[in-house]
Amino acid sequence: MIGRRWYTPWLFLAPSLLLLGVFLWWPVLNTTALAFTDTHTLRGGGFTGLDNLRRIMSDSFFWNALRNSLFFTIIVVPALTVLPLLLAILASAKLKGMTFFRVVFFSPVVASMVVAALIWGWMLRSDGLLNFVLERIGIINEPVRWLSDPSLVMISVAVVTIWKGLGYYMVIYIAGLQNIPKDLYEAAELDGAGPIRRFWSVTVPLIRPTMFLVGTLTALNAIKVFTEAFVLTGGGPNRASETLVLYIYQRGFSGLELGYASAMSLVLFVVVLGLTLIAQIWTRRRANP
Amino acid sequence: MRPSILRRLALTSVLALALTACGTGGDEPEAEPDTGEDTDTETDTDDDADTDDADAADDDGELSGDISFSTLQLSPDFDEYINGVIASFEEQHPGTSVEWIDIPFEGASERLLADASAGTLADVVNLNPDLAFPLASEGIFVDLDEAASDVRGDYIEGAWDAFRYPGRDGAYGYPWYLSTEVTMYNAALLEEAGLDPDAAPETFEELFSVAREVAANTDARGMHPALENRFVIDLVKLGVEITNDDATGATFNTPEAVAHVEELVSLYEDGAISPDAVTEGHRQEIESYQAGNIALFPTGPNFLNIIEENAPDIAASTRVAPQIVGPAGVTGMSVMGLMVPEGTDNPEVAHAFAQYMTNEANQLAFADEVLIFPSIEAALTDARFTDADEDADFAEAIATAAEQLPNAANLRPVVVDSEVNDAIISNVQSAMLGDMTAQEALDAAEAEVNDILARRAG
Amino acid sequence: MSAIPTTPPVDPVEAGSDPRRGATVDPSANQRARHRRVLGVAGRYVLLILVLFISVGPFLWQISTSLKGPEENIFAFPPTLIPESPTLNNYLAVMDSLPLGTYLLNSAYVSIGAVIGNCLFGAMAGYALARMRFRGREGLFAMMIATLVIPFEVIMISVFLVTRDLGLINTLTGALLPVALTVLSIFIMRQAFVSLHPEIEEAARVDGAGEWQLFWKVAMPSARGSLAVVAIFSFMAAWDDFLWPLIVLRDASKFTLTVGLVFLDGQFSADQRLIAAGTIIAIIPVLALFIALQKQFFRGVGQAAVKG
Repeated sequence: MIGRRWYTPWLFLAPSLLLLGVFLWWPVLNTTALAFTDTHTLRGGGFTGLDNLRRIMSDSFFWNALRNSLFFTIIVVPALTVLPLLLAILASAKLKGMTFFRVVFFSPVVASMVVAALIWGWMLRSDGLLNFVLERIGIINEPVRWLSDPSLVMISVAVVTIWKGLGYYMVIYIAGLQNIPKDLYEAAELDGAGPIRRFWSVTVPLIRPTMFLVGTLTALNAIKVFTEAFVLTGGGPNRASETLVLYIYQRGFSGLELGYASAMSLVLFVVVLGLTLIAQIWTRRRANP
Repeated sequence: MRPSILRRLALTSVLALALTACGTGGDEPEAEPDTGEDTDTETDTDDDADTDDADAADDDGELSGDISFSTLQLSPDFDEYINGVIASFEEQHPGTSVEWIDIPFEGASERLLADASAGTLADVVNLNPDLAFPLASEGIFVDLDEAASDVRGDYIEGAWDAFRYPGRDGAYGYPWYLSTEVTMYNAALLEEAGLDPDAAPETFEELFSVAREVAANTDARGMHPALENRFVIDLVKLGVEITNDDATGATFNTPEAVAHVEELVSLYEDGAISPDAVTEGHRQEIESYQAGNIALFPTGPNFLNIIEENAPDIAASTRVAPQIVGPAGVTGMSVMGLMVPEGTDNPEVAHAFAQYMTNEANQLAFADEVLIFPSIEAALTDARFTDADEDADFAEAIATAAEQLPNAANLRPVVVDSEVNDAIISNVQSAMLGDMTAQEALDAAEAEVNDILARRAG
Repeated sequence: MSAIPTTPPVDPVEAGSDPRRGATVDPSANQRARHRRVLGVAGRYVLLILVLFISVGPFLWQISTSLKGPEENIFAFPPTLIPESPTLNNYLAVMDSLPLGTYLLNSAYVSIGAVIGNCLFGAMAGYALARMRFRGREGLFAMMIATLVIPFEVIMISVFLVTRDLGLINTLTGALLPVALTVLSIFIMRQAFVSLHPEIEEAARVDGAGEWQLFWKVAMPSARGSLAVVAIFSFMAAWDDFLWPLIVLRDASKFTLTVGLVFLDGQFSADQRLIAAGTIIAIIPVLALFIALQKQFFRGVGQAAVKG
């Protein structure tokens, strides 16, 4: 780092700071301030100190929604960190017609959620394809209620989310895989390493920064999820698939309790900050044992 | 990308809104409201004559100034009609100009809240009672009991009252187009079940018994509960009050309500309702009906058109019966209205335009375009609504619906927004799944709703 | 979905079922390798086709629906994929009822603006955060990441007020600016630059390159794959964005495609064929961009740079 003036980094950052400052941080700051008020979306409100936080503590729907979101995150993050990597490796092969396959793998990302819900409805409903197949091969005796059993509904929502996210994170992995020097694979092959061995000893260590990126992104997106739950189940039955953002949103837009919605967002923000830090420390420890 | 929650709200309202485009097969060219009419002579002048009374009564002075007018998803189907009305208004009042903005249902509520916060609402805003509720409760709209007392008598009373809000005096919307639910049913499925396809169910008991018969004798289910949209309205039809008058306490935990929930549970257990229906909404209900998976579909006549577009075979065996009624005999309708915000710069023009848009001639011209019903009492006596056996596409539905309107009301209390609705139906879902008894579910729902109402009052 | 192996696998079942395999007596090592490769290719295609079946559903349904004639039931169950009487009328009808050209231009303006903003500013910021040491770097980065989790809907009204104060309501610039740079892009670019080999940089530095040249001539080309990712993601985000353009844009002449298309799904008419045709029209530019950019991933930039 020779000959760099102190302000050089800031020159690089200036356009970003300007745009993010005006259109993200200022509104976020504004909204965060509302967390300590009883602001009504249209009416304004007054400072109420920690009342909102106290209310969150005793709001069982908030905790239910947080639990659902965390459960969902725990299912989705490992799946969406690993499966897209495998898909990317498959899609990176130099074979005929690969562009076509890549496009198709990517297509669920741009599919409208309503259509995805329609098709998954055909799969998951009690007389749907999945139950039909499972009954045929004798795994189940009577139809499983994938979309109305409170203990399964979140898993069904997660499956659809994973399905829709595969192509998205595949793209990041494909880009990441190309940064792995080919000669490393050749060297490993010369050493007699089989494909699985090569995967573990070459791909995984070198793709780890990308896995961290994808893991973080999936976690952030998972904790924010609501479209899938909303379209598939409307949050039901009896709030079994009501996610945190669904709940926040309802309070802010239907209940018009902008202050309370902001307070819940603040809690979400802190939870995520904490999880990010844990993840960072964990990866750092993994990286330098 | 993110289908907003408000989509759900919007769908709720859409469901209630029974409106249908005419010229279903696309075989009829879009008729222009004011000029394309052969039957009403060269109508421009007629319209003008009719509306002059309304305007004159309100304001004798010269109108001038610009206003904006926002509607809910009427473009592009009704561009010609709306632009025609605007043009003739501007012609009558040379100093005025009206800018039309059309907002889709999806995202409408977010857009309205953002506009209300930033003071950028249009001068005349088209809303239904549910969408208007949060804004009207904050006193954003002009009270028309006062501002338009002279024309109030022209409108159907139930429609005018649809824009009253608990805890506030006054009515806040000029009623615009109306619709009312009918019962659609798949006659082929009824026949297959050994039922008389001409004897449509008209009461809840009949509805449930037909549903059971269909489920027992065919591969289809009887009905879809669409709890989110229908549960509260059905309670009202059964004579249950949802809250007290000033919306400070829940009053729906009654023996009638418990009996209704128990009935739903038993329909569910009997298979008359699909096991998946508990968490499904109106969207899946339409899909199921169009797939021929359910036999009965209470909805607005507008869905006849949509069914014909998407499932012509089902449309062919669809018949229409009057709305299902409870012992009290009340029928529901849905109402669209025009609001004038307090903050408008040009209230005279705004009121004059809202009255012009909703006057008899212009509403009848609108009803020529599409299957809606005018909110002006006198307009409902028009022959097109009373003579059923014309060969019009949906004559049966039109007559059925028009007959219901004079005594209809907006049954869904505005206080039942998505938060209150969720509090109620999420517990009903548990009851249907057998996790609670009907009584327990309603107890829990009552407590939750009381919490919400108390919080809103405090 | 359980095992999508990475391997040109030696699948015992496949090996056994291949008749040619049995015929090969005492295969030389060379032949074995060749067989393995053939089997590997076959195995990969089997997997590719398997995943294809999992992914293709919605796309197929939409294409099929958009080609169906008015007499077919769209919601029939089980669904029919092959239209009885295929027609392009639905596409014509969409073009007829909506000013698609205008919508496409508006969407293109916002999306291309978003791509430029995200790639350029995102890379600059990512570069500073990854390669430069300065006070407050970690804090700044943490702040960026944490704001990723705030749901847009929560801050929406506040963003709207800012946009109003800047006089940008009902302008495409107003629709663009909040998506002109996202934290996601900065994050992706930072990760790309973090794994850049320091030697290349040092070499260029010794050659007397300035900070900007280092960034533009050395770092950017070697992050081409990540730039392609950012381009695809930011294009898609801007192209698909619905709520924000809806709130900012007033005149129908300014609508983006996503906003314009919801008018097909109306209260009086909601023909799934037209909706599907509209969706396909909206998806094509995104997929075209994906096809164009995915080649960037396979240029093998990384290895050239490292060798140098």
